[in-house]
Amino acid sequence: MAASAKSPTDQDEKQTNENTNANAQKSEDTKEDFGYYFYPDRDKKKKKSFLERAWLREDVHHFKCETHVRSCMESNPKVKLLAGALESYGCPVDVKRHISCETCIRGVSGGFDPKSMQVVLCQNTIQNRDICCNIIGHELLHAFDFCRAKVDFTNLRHLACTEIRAANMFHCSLGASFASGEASFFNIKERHQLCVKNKALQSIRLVRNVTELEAMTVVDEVFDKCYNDTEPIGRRCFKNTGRAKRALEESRNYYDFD
Amino acid sequence: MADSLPEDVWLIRPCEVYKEEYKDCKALFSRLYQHYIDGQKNNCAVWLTDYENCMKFRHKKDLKAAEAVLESERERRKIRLQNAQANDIWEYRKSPPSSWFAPLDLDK
Repeated sequence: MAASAKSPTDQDEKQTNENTNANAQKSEDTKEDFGYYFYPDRDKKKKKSFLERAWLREDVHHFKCETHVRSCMESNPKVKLLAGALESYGCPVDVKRHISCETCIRGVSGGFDPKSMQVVLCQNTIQNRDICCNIIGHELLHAFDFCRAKVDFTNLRHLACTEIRAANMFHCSLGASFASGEASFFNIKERHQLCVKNKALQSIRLVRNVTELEAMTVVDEVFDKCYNDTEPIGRRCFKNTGRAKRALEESRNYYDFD
Repeated sequence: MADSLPEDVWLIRPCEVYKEEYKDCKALFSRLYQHYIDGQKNNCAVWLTDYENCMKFRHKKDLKAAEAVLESERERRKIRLQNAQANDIWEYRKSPPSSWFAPLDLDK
């Protein structure tokens, strides 16, 4: 998967940072696998026995995940906006074909697989509907970039750009920055950019076998252009759904969808 | 009257939206976010002016007011499109990827 896997959100950030370090190490010992290591069901789905599925509560997680997906696609303004923008570029999102709930290895919440054109959601790590909507939005943004441009996920610059855009629009709320230490009570001014850079860095190192310095250099190189490109949403919206709804209505002037 | 309307009059959003944007811009939480993202306070007065002009156009069919709102909207649209076009990290497609609807490889 030359995909942009992302690390889970605020609540689990500290714990999964440790996980992601351990995982990054595993992939350093072997050749580049572009993040497919985290999605064991991608290559071949081996049928798990009933007892194994019951023990892991897989069917329960799968059902919850699919319910969240349906709910997000119907009522979350940012997800609807992304789906509409994708449709207007000729890549309409069919939930059955393009979104897949799977069990992943701990440390990621989702990814976009450009080989099969699917958004993968990790049914075992997504805790609630809001987080699910955020992850769907994040991955659909990668799909949007892939649909409108010849994005090569093996190209570090392209990967950095798409991750910067996703972090810019779906992560790095004030709360998230406080949780991860980029902002504090005495240090808030212009901390959003730092948060976005760190988030993008984290996502890149999760799927690529590169040193921190290499990743930081690439992120800095492409940062300005990618940070200011807020298509298709047009603005940064955080928990404020009013802003997201207004962004959805405004985007009908830029994209052609129902 | 319809003939004298500017061609891009569709850019004017429902007036209530400008009022909402103004309130949102001035709210304490938003100010905090403006400090967090831009490092400075945004200029919220623009939204209020747009709202007042929009209402003038709605109630009194004031074309000058409509033109003022349109100027603001054109500027916003220009900035948004410029930012998008400035992103030349990748080559843009002329048609969607053919593999978008390719059948899944189901060897399960």
